[in-house]
Amino acid sequence: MKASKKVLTLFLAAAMVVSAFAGCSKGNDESSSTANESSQSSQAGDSSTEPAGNTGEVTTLDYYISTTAVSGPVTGWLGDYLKENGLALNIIAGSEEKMQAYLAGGDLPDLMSFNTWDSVTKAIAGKMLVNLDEHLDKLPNVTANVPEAIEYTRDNRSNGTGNLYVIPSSIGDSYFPVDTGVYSINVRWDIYEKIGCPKAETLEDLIPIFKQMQEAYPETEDGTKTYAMNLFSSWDGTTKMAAVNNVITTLGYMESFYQYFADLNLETGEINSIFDDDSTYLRALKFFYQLNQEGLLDPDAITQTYEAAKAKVDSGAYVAIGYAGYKDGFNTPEHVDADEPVGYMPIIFDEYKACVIGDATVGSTRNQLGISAVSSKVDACLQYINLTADYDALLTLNNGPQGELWDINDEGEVYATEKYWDCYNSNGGKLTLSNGEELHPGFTYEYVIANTQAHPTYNVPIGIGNWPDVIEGTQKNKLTEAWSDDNDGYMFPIQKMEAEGRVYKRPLAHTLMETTPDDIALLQQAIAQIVIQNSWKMAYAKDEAEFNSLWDDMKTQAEALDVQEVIDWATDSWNKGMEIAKQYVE
Amino acid sequence: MEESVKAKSLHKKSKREGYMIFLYALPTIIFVFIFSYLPLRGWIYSIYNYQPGLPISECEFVGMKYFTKLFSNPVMRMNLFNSLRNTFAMVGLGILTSPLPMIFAIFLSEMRSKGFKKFVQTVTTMPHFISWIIMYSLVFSMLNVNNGFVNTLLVQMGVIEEPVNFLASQKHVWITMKGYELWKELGWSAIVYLAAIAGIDQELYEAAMVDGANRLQRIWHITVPGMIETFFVLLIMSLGNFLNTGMEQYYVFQNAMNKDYIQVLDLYVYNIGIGNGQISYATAIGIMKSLVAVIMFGFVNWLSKTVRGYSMF
Amino acid sequence: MKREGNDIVFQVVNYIIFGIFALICVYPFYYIVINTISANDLVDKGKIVFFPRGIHFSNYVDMLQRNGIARSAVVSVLRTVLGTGLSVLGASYMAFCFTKQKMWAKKFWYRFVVVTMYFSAGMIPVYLNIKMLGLLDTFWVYIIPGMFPVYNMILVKTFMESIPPSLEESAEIDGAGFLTRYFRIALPLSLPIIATVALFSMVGQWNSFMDTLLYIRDYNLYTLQYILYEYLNESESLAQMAQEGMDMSNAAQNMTPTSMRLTITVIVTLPIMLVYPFMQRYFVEGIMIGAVKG
Repeated sequence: MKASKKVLTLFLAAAMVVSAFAGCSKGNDESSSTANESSQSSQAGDSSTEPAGNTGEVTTLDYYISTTAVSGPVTGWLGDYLKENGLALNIIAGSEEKMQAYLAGGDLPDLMSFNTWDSVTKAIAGKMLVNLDEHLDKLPNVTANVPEAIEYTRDNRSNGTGNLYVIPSSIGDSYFPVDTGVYSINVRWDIYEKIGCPKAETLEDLIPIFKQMQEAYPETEDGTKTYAMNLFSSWDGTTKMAAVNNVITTLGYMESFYQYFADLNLETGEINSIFDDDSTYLRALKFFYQLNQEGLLDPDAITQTYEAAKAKVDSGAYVAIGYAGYKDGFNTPEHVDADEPVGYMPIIFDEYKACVIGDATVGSTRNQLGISAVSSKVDACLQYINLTADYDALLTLNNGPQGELWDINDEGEVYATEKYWDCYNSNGGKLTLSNGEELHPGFTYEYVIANTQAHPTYNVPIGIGNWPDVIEGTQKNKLTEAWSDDNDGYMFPIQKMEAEGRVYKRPLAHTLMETTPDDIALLQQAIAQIVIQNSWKMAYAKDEAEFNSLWDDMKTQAEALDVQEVIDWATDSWNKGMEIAKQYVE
Repeated sequence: MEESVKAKSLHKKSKREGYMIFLYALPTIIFVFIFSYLPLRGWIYSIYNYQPGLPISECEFVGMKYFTKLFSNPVMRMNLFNSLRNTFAMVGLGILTSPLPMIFAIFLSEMRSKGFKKFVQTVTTMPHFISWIIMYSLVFSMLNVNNGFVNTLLVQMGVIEEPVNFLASQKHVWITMKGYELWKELGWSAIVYLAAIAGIDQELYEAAMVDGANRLQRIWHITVPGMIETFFVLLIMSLGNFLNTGMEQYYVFQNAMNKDYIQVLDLYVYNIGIGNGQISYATAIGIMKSLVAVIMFGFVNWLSKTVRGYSMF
Repeated sequence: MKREGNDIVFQVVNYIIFGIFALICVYPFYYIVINTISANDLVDKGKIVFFPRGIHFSNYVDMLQRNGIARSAVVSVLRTVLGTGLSVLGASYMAFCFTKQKMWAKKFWYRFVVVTMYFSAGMIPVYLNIKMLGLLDTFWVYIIPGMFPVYNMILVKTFMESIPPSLEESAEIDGAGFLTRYFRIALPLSLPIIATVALFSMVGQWNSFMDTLLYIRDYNLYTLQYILYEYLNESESLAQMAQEGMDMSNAAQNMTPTSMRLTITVIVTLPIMLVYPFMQRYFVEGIMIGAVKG
């Protein structure tokens, strides 16, 4: 009897302690802003650029960002800048699981950056978001600077309520001053020159050129065998063979559309099934297959990860690569400014049509900002949103504090400071502020206006990397000069492409497509499994016969899974998007 | 007369004691109920088209749609069949290799040098802590075509003429997967057997030595019986769980070439996108898997009862 | 004489086999360690396979200087110590209860508990349950849900059943109550298995990050594993951007290099490697029941 009492008291005591602690931390919630603030300021103190005499009230917001991987308080110069504006951010990194859990639980963090319209719709339906129409007076920058986006969101993304619940982000025109975005086929220009810059008409003409280059440069200095095209499989994910991006986007087709098993020709607007026997998708696979037949396709491509492929690009082990964004690892200042410059530059074959990211007039498909209905800090959230729609604030938010890397001169023009150039020239391109902090241009916490959008007063894009003098000073080098000599004297690839009318922006409809319904999404993914698997196998097929039988097999299976349903849905949704787009683009 | 009264009172006493012990156990049972049974309310999502955020009353009722979906189409059925085949193959290999940790523990404990014993035991558990993603990059660095040392070595020795992409081979996928798993987990799974051996009364060994039993006899008559119970308990538990092979290992090693053999059920379910936000569908599959697991567990338990004479659970 | 000869052969073969297997098992960790201290560009190119080259320790320095590492390490240690302690007590107490044949409807209740290993309600229902219990965003969400681990309980129970019942019976005759018998007899005699399940829950606690991911918003409660998990995850979100056709040249700069990922593995594994040998003695050396008896 005694013992049982003991056990009971033990459990009761434990329960009490537990609930006491639970209650305690619950209570902390209200005061958490101050707690966070102190921890934040102590961290910011390390970097010691605290503006003196800041006595204003600072509100800490829990800010969930779907597309950010790292949580924690925002510190450093950005933390300081926000603090001057009475704000502090506690970032909550996004993940699919978290989003589902938060939506199911109903209590969203103060400020939300959603990454799918689907979750926005669910949050609206569950009454978890603040109706921003009731607070427009506190969003003057938003209403003044992005009226179309607001109008569009109200009309099309309000779950039928006609109210404004979210503000899209990254609104603005796209801007490609140098390259054709990420989509081009780049060759080791030094080797290409060595073999006499042979011209190519079609995509397939590139193969013998690559072969010649490989023969001229069979292995790198450290003995790695060379191949053409840096394919890898680790980003295939569940919807498409990502490697195909490399090819079809250089033929003027939209890369995000073949996840619906259709080719979308940006020039004609035509949509065709990838299973047609004359599809561009099939052509891309055939291209890979021929590369492999010629011994140009890396045998490790199918098993290597992104990191492994990138390491090879960084050491120049591919004579040709897709995804222009990767070439920076090899196009280092030492390489591109050597007496005999070495590096990757786009090869402009006759058939090349660049598909580039389009204008985000009504916001990108990613990241819509909304305020949690249970938040007690609505005003501060509104203030953050409003701040990131303010052109002048955006100059700082994107480029660091004024007077550091950029400044405004007496004529009222923005310019990159001496310090910027010092950093650029001496620091390997790393931009370091005077407190020692590194600035990552282009890395943002989801601002309403994109950094490619032109500033109305200064008439340059907001991001410092795109200012004309900066481009002139950072992008021109001996390698681009060599390229320029071989390409009719155009300074940068984009200029040649634009002059010849070969740049196609993704139409606005791209961002206006409906959310894929669950049924379609499931179908899509089941088919994608077959498509991804067979596509890779086709690239490595032994002979034509195997190639064709894999193709037939893929077609049969996809048809058995009702692929047409997906294609029809996508076509329909695209056409609707085009209709809607007409209202918002003049 | 007197005896039956006594027996009755004894019975009564033991019954009361039974209730007492139950009262002692009750808090733990309540706890299990709260954390494992209460959430099962969520199983209702499987018959609705549940959208997080909406109350269930506002969600569309779909009945058994998600339960039948996996079998709805010949291609889906074939894929499901394929992944089940792979799952069974992995489970079969799992059963075949299940005595290995026990054997590992026995032979390790027979080792004389205490220092070496501890060393082996420590280092064989180390791979357990390395994630599959890193294991893959390690394996890739050994086996890749361009500069993996295995290929270089084999070519130099003249075993193969051209380097081979072993990771993209569809031969022996099951066995290699099991091999990687043993590499990573064998030492770790031996721990529980080492504990069982440590629990055997040392006096038994001393007595056996006196009786002149040799090493094999000691192992067979003392060590093995001392841990066989643990072995069967673990085996039965794992058989009940046979559909949950996990997917991380298979996920990192999968590619277009080996997919037909590597895609176990868990990976298949992930690959066709049920993990991503399809809560109702995922719940339906979870329910089906749970049912299979509970039935399988009951069956194996019954089997062990018939074979070994008493039930484990 | 013959027996001794056999014995030597046995020992030699045993040593050789275990020696080889040990080497195979050491290699992955060795590989990781040499890659964390070699020149990072060589690491990215996969050139470090057997020996380190260009030795440096900046990866470790960088890693340990990251924001919040110290605080999160404290949280991790706290949850590991507290969580392990309580779950070991929980598992062994529950196991002790279920070793009692006399317990009312024992078979039913045992199965009631055991069967929970085979189903799970799914992430969302569990989240809602945790929310309902008021555990969201509290430290206790790390501890309480794992307080009675069924799997460990079964292991302990199996072990306890192998202990001769005479010990407990004699204690009962001496008037020892239920809890006394648990603390004084069952627990000390089960030390090997207690050490084992302690190791299991310790590793589980130390390595888990999903609970932080789902249940915690307060930065001060983040665990070391979670912070490192996020760090590793950066490349994943990069992949996602690639799929959406975003320009990644900026993002690529922020990506975690391979050597850093490996450094993270070393940092999180090391504490366990250090604690392990101390726990080992409980299950490597046999216990003498006689000694406990006396």
